[in-house]
Amino acid sequence: MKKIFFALAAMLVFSVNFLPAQDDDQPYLSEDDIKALELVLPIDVPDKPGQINEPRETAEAIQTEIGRLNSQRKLYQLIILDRMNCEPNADIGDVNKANILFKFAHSEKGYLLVLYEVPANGPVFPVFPKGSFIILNLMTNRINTIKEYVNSSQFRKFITIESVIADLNGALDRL
Amino acid sequence: MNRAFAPLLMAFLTVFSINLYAQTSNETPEIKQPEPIQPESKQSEPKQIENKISAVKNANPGDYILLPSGKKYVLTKEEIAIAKGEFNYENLSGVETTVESDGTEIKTISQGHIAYIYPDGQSTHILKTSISFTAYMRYVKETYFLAQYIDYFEVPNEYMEIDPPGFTVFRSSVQYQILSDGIDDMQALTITIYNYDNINRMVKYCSKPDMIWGYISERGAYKPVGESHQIEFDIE
Repeated sequence: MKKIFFALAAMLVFSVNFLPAQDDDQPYLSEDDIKALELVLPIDVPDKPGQINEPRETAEAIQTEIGRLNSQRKLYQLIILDRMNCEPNADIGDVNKANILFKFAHSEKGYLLVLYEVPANGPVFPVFPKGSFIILNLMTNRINTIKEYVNSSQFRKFITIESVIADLNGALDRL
Repeated sequence: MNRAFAPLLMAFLTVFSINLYAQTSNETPEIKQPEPIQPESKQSEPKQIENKISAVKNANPGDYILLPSGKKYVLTKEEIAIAKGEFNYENLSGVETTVESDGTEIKTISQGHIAYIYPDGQSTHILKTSISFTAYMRYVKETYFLAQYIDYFEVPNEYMEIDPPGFTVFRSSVQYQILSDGIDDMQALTITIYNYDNINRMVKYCSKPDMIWGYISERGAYKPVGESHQIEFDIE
């Protein structure tokens, strides 16, 4: 009886005291966590007490920003317009400087989807048809951002025709 | 009998003595240098803690882990409660909040978890560490129902793999939308996950069971209401 009692007591002491201590001694932030915390993305706001003190306006950062703004980079813009209250077959205008990569008009008064490339030497301000309503306006210089969006369920809230999605993906893949 | 019993007793004594030594050795500094009784403001002064789960559990709000770059990872009271498994994600009223000019409330649950609560009742949570993501996903799984999507081969899937972004660290967003069929409202969660176990994926949950991605968009009866609050991760 004594043997069983002491054996159980030894097992109890071991399990209660040692095992949780091993779990709790694990690092709280893994190396990957630390890498993720160290990299600040544009969305990682706000900057206020209690947060990582990220120097936002260092001379180096300003130079990088100036360099980025001065660099001539193409922009890609994806626009979806609701044309329910427009004239039939209404279209966007004044996009002479833009390279239209894909356009789809859904019936006479359905949505209008346009993907175009904005040249590096200046912005394009398309004229939207009177009475139209912007459903989506996504502008970025990362083509991957548009690709991710087009292949997400968010995009499928607006566009459900599979052939349009396939053609749009084709246009993006050609870039 | 006694000979058979001796090894067992020795094992027990060894385990017990090692354990006792470990405990007393940890406690030794406290015994040698008992902290003087100080005013409350002195006691709550932030201090650096070890990067260990046990240290976080025993930390006070404001204590910090020093990152290799020299930056401080400051612990909030919510993060300590999360580490202890005691935090209630349903109640964010006590979380430190700043209000933007458009009425958006920014709640800092931890440095790895920030919630944007929009004026129309929708919200987006940005998660920067896998530990904050894992804790929050536990809550999501307990509270909401997984929505599946049907792929081109008409096979139901739990998640969709998506293209990787232009960065290699972990990031996740949990976007809450309000959907309505004109009679009933429900919440739809779109969870975007980048670089989690080297996989990029999108998952959807709903406050209503047995929903399919198509049914909770304009394809089906439920449509989004309110504004669209899309947060895009991007990096130059």
